Amino acid sequence: MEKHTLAKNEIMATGSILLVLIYVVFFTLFIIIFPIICNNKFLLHIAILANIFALVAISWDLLFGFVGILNLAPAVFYGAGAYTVGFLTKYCHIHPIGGLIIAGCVGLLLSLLLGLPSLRLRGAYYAMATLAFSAVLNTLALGMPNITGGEEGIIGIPSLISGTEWNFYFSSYLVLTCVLALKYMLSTKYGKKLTSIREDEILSQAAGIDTSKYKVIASTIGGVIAGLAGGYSCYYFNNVAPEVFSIAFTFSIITITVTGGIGTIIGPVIGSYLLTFANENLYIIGQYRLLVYSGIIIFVILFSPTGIIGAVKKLKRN
Amino acid sequence: MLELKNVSKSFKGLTALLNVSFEVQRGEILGLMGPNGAGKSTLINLMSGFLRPTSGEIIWKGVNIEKLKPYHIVVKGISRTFQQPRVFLNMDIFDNIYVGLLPSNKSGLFKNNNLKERVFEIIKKVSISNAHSTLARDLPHDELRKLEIARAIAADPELLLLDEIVSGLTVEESNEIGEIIRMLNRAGLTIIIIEHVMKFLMNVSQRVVVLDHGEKICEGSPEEISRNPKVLDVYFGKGEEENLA
Amino acid sequence: MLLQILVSGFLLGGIYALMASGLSLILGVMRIVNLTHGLFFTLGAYILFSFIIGTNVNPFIGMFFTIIVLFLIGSFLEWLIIKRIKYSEINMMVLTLALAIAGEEFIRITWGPKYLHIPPLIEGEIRLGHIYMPNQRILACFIGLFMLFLLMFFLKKSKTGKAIRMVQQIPETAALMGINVRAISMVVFGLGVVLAGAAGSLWAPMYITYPAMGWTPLLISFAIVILGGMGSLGGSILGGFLFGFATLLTSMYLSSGLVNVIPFITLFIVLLIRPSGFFGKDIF
Repeated sequence: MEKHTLAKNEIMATGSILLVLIYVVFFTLFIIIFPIICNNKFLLHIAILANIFALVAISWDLLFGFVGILNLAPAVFYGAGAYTVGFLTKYCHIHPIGGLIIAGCVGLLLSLLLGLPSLRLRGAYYAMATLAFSAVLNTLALGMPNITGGEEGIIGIPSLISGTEWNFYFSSYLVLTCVLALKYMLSTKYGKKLTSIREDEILSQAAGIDTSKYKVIASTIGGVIAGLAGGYSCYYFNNVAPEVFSIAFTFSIITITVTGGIGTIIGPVIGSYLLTFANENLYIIGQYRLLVYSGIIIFVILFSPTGIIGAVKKLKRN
Repeated sequence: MLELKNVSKSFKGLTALLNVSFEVQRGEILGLMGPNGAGKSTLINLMSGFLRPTSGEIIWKGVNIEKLKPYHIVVKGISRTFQQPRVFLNMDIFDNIYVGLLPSNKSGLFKNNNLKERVFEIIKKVSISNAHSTLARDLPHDELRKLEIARAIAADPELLLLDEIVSGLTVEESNEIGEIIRMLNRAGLTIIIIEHVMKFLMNVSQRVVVLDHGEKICEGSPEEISRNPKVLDVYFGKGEEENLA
Repeated sequence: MLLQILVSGFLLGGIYALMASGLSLILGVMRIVNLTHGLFFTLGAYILFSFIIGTNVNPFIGMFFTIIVLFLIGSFLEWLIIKRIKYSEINMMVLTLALAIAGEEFIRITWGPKYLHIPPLIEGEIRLGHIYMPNQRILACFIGLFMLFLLMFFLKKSKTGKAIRMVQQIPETAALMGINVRAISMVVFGLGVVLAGAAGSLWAPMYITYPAMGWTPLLISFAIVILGGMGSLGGSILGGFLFGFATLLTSMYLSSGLVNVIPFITLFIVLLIRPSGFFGKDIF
């Protein structure tokens, strides 16, 4: 029975220090050169968006692509992180760095809360539970205007960092750190055990791997990343609104990851850049964005479930 | 070392095992045989924690393990293989064994503590001839079976449960596996073999337990078993034509 | 007051039961988590709308044709796309989610994003003492029950119905027994979709119609199906009525915005305590 992901020598490839160095060099150059080439604040803004989405996509992929759990609510961690920053700033006037860190912690706590049921529930049930959870949060965010600002949300959050260029550097740095840290983690014994759970959970249990523990850890890491992304997004956009809990957001994340390639770390990043830029640049499809996204997903799932990265790897093999 | 006391298992009214009791002594090779549906695989699943007995106890080195999760039982020193060849297909040989490594070095199967070297040691022990970077999905059937054994002993177990390890192999390949099993046993590993291929089981086991319809019908040495009328009845009475001798 | 709640709850429950059965049928027989359920709920309303506004035909005839159209779309979808991903439950969820969103956008483009009002099939209401029952609601509930009754009858007595139950209970052997599992899958999916759409078209005149109206019914249907036991038709029907009562009870004490939170929280709790629901796996 074909598994939902075929990412293969991901593990082999990451062991190489050379590759890591190449990544670092490439990304650093990219980060430095990009703002110089694109002397266009708007493009930088799009890139920042892409970075934020990439972070959430990576965190979602950690659960879906690597452990095999379908979570229909990456929005939960992201939105919670964003609203945390919103609340803390509005009511406690917290220092931005503190806010960011706490957003990450909130992501961690929520991921534990949502992660534990995942151990007891089968895939479909769990997915529905997460969907329900994000719907609850959405309703709460809308339905309690006194606390959450209702439809408008919380506005007037000061920036963590001022200036588009610096935000670009910061967000890109976040993505880079995330990618490197995860790639390193995956090359360790822990990472290989994680992927073995995706490959064949029963077999990994027979190999002595406490699958529950690993699932929770993976889920937690994902939660922290998404929470941080959410917190940062609140600082960058200077506001937070119930849209963060919407199905549209969840769906965008899924599209990004599936297109770029499930079960890889770099896939979501590529997918994010591709789709975010496509979305903003092709105004023609602007109105039909979700339609196009869904079309992409349908196409990818039917014909290349492993996304772009998977297709590239298959070509390389042949 | 391992003791089963009155172990029974029912599934929604269907009794798979009834009051099965026997012991496994340290350092022996025990064969578990019986016709299809006798309950052998259920027994292995119970011993390895994938199922819980409806009643009865499973005691390992003095401790009850029947309620433990599979990974916990592995940590406690019991490792298993599966009836259908089961390895991590998209990982290579090295990683297949690597992920099964546990930190401790209990049974003295390993000469050194360096994880990577241990993997190579295991590969050599089990005589896998393919390069360690070969993907598991590209392996021929006999190498696959060896990889299964390798993966199972990576956890440094004291007891190894082999579920129909030679099914699908030629006589020569089976003999090779038999040699590996004897070698592991000489190094101190206790082994339980479940098999359908009678010749193999009789050749390799030092003692045999026979199941039929979920009950133990007798146990003893291979010679005793092959002469036991109850056993002959179970096999020939059902039209099975395996040669017991 | 309580009596009013009971009655209203019952009327609402009829629609919930109809809606949830569609999901339950597909889940039980095809073992597919159908996230397009909400989409077809919405589509049912919109198609009925088009029939009524566009052709001036008797609304009941409009409903009849809506059902036919939905069945055709559903079976076609199953044949074209759904059948290809049977192997992976998770991919199926992502796929149906994508289809649901695509469908919603399609609706938004075709009919426009604004709220629509579908006129009730029957105007007026009945009053019994202090109890007030709008005719549309009574009609909706009874049509719903009638359709469910037809469904049960179909499943129990007809040849196709029996084949469907066999595919549900012994999937591997059903094919060996000569049952055309392919065709059955198409029929079942079509039926499930019809039930969703019928519920939607009955619901819409009582509230408003808009492209995204299907998500909440989707989640509610799931909550009901899980409560009643995944794959148990009877359970879903019963659960539907329970939910109808519960919804109305809570609407007395909570603002309307928060009312929908309750089913989700219930769902969450039920999933934690007893994921298999209360009825288990048989279709009856």
